[in-house]
Amino acid sequence: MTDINHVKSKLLILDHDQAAATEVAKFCEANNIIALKPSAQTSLEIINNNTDLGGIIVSDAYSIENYSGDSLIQELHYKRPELPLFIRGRSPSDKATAFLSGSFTLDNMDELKQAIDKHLFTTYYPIPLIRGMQEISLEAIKANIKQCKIEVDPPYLVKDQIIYGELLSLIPLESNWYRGYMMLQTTEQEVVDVIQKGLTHINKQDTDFRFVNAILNEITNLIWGGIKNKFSSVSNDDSGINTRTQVPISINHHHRYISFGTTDPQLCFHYRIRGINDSVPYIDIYQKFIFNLSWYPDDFQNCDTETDKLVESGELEFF
Amino acid sequence: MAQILVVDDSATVRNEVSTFLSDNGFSVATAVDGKDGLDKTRADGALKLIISDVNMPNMDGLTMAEKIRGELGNQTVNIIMLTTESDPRMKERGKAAGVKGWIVKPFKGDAIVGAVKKLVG
Repeated sequence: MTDINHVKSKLLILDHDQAAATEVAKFCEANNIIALKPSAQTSLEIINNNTDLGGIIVSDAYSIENYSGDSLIQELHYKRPELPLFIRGRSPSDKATAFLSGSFTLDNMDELKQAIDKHLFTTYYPIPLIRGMQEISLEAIKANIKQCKIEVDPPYLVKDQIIYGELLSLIPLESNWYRGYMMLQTTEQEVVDVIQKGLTHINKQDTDFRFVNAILNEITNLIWGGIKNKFSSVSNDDSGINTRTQVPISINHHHRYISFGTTDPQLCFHYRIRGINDSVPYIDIYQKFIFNLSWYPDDFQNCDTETDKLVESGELEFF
Repeated sequence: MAQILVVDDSATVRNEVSTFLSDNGFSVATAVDGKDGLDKTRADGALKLIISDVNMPNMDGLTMAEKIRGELGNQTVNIIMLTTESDPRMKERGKAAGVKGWIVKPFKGDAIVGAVKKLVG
């Protein structure tokens, strides 16, 4: 069951002290944070193995490989500079403090909450908007993948900019109260499997990657249209369309990294699509909304009530 | 000679719509964008209905409709837009180009087959 009444985020907890880690996990649970504690990892690859993170909590006594203290803080920052880093205990040095977003002790968790609110939960996403995004997305997936059941995680905020999977679609989203992008990411073979099972509108033998792309693109297109129809104001003023700003989007294939030029957290949804009788492997789709050019959620309420009942999909309107 | 031309840059939509219409007894051809649709309309005088997307590369569906009415002088083929767009200004532009109907995706086949039968005859 999806709980979208609270937008969550994921923090990686690096702490050898089991009792302390448990306390931090309890704090996380009470504050809409999913605590991820790596099990028996001995390599800093744990950083690269965990994506869609909101930040990292590290103990001042934590060590891994040959890193601890200053060198660990610097290495974590070097590997994932976009992630806020919170330390339990005290900063090893003034130099390391520059890489930290906050410090706390177990007897003063308010400091952690304040630091997280300041660096992570910084963007307001109205719940009806989130619900609408999710409903439109589910409808779009079901329109393209037949006889499927879809599990949806609670939406969450991510600060990292790591690309997931093998396929990625990207489309601009624009109205007079938001401007940004939507990105869908998934892996290829699972989509090939549903094509071969005849669960898409593509012919069973058309498993070339271009057809796989076509499915992701059509899902993207339907979501784009649904969001535009439901959430863009009817009286959308296009007069400034030619003077609107743009920023470059940079993609680093080597590091599987994409930057939209903003450090604001991205709103993320995860859909797991299964065949009704579990005859095919599940497909994971990660959906991210990045409103990097403008975001005025206070204007959301008005246009939502204006347009809610205007658009009826699927029916023929004769002229 | 096809009765219906489905114009969409999405292979998924082309397959879905053309399969649905073929299963209901219609002969169907497809085009991958507005430019391709215009060329195929020019080459096939027997077309009775075009079902077209709006947002496509090379030439969008509304421009294609305008060119079919204007440049080709074809006033007889019926055109329906099947699109994610529902902007009233786009619909007005479609009406001015002689578009007969507008369907907002996702496509619900059963709901429109009667209308398609009516237009194709």
